[in-house]
Amino acid sequence: MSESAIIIRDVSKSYNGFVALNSVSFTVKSGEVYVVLGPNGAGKSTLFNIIAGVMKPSSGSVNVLGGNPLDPSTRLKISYLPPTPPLYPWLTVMENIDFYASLYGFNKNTVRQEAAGLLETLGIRNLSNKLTSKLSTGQSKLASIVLALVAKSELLILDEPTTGLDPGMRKSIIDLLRKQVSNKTTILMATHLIDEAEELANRVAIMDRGRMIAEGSVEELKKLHAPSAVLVIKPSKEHLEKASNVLRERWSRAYRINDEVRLHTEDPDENMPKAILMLSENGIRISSVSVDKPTLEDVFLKLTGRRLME
Amino acid sequence: MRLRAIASFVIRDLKLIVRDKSLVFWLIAWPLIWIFMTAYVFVPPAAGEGTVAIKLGVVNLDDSQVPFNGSLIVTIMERVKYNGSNLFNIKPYYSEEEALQALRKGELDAVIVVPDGFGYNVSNIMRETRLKAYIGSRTPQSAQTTSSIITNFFNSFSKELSLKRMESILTIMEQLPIPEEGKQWFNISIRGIMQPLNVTFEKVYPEAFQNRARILGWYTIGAIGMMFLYSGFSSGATLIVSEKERGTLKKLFSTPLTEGEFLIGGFLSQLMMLLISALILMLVGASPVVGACIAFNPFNLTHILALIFIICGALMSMSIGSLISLISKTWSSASNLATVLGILLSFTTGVWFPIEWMPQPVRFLAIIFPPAWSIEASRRILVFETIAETLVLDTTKIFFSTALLLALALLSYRTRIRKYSES
Ligand SMILES: Nc1ncnc2c1ncn2[C@@H]1O[C@H](COP(=O)(O)OP(=O)(O)O)[C@@H](O)[C@H]1O
Ligand SMILES: [Mg+2]
Repeated sequence: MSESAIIIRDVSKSYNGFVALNSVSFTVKSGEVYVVLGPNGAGKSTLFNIIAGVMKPSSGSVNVLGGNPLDPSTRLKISYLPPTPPLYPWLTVMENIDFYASLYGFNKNTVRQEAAGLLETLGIRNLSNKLTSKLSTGQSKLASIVLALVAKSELLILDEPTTGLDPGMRKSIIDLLRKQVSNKTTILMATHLIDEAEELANRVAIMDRGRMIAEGSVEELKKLHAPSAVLVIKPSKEHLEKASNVLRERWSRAYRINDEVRLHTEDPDENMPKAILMLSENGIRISSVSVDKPTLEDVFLKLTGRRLME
Repeated sequence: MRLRAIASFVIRDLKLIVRDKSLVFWLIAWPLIWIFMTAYVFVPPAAGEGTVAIKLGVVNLDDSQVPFNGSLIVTIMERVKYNGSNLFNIKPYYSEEEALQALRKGELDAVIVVPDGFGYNVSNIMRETRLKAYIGSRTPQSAQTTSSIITNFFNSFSKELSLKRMESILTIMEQLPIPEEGKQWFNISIRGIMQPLNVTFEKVYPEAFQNRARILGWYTIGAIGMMFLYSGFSSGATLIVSEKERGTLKKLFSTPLTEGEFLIGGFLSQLMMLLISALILMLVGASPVVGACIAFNPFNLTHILALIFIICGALMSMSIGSLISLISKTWSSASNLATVLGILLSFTTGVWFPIEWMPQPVRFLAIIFPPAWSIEASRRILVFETIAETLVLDTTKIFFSTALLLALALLSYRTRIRKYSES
């Protein structure tokens, strides 16, 4: 096994002139969990399609597990999970698993045993003989994750594996993926969920509008791109708009998010009283104020001025 | 090329036949409905052999007092049998006008007028014998049949007559004082003149002239052909777009699967579905419930050829479907277009309705539509038991067009896969 599982150099991709990936370069080390974080439309799926060997890049070089993913022998070592469950509705969960396993040429019984274990872990063993057309959205998602894991591939490419799952299911997926990591599997995962990235990733890449705008461990990213603290101010509902405008006059890095304003600051002790005073001078009622540690969301806010999740 | 990967598509889709009710409907139930409609409504069991009899009005104006006269020919015609029943259903008329009126009203298929002096003319070797026949058209398809049957009858009748006349000339010759050599030369040359071509005929009858079992055989193969057209078109047209819309296409090509394996696996599994359905339709058709005449003997090479024609028909239909996939963007539009087109073409190219029923301009379609050739050729073998030698040209045409269409399918699928995996 080589040092680097994935080496991407200057990869671009355009769809009829629209640039979805703009000269992206990065390296994923063997055995690491590399999370690509970015809002919808950032180009994550396009990038993953190229790494999985489904799409050709418009330009740039792609090396996966020492080979070209357009080559079937390279793909033999890759397992790709598309964002929507790739299940045949007239087959049962186990039959879907059998079908894909035979495309890889895996031994049917070994795979079935492995799959049964994974289904058990996820608490859906009882679904193995159910037609996938009869599964709920969440169950389909879980089944397709088993489908991807069962191959015991060297590289797992997971495109939004937990989207559409409730927090309980999400937790069991995260636990399952942790176990895979200890099996020396390299995981490349796309998400727009910050918790997931922070919890799993060895390294995180932040993508926006086809570009990779930052890369590093969660700590590194925060150290480089996040403020030392975040002032979270929650004004009363009717004053939300006005409050964010007032604060933005004084602090350029005040962002309105849902029903609160996040104020990035290097000095929370000094700025908190100032902010409260300013708001009350403008007749704005405040329901709560607190100081938070920055998250990757704040990193993204700082880098792009926009939110990760719209 | 990995066989296991290819086989897994066949296994996957065989399960679809068992589990997808709408598929079973289109593959088996719908064609069966047509077969049963034919067996019990259009050609009901009571419609025995008698129904093919030709209603013939005869006006006998001949009163020659010789053994061979108008009355004799009427008697002969009354006795001609086919498959155990009378071929002509004869009704006498006393005037030509009266008979023609009945013909115009559609009460008769044809009228024959035996002129006065017919008997004398027949008996005299020096005279030409005349006979008049009028062909009506009681139903759209009957005129052709009637005309060919009557023409055949009188052609062979006329031939018999000339042979009789020749015999009598030769008998007279025997008695003339001519050298023996001259007699022999005369004998040989007159035979040559009277019988320039001595052909032995296989019994070939027009299709409508067949019994019920063969008509049902014709329609059973027709139902299979119809099913091939709409199902084959549809499965060919949706082979790739269905994977795309289901979200499985990208997963498939992220595995070690190659385009070649995917196309062969997909094509093979669709072919299996069509052939299994065809087999079921044939078995039901040939069963006593329907009673179609379908001859199949696995040890008969000609019958095996018919089977190959059927496979070619399925492959060609699927390939044409692949071309439909080039012009339709979604799964449902592809499958709707394919189904409508398939049913329409099966109606107009002689696959389901006899081509003779179609107006002349439409018949052109059957000539240029290769799947119709393969259905027609297999029908001629399995239902009409044609010998393989008469099918050399058809076989060449069918094999060539199958290969050509498969190549076109490969090209169009490649462009589809590229397009869909890039989006
Ligand atoms: N087949 C396509 N044709 C045109 N534009 C596309 C196509 N697929 C994706 N895009 C565009 O490319 C951008 C990146 O999409 P995608 O890779 O799916 O991003 P993500 O997975 O991060 O949401 C988006 O703006 C999307 O609209
Ligand atoms: Mg995506």
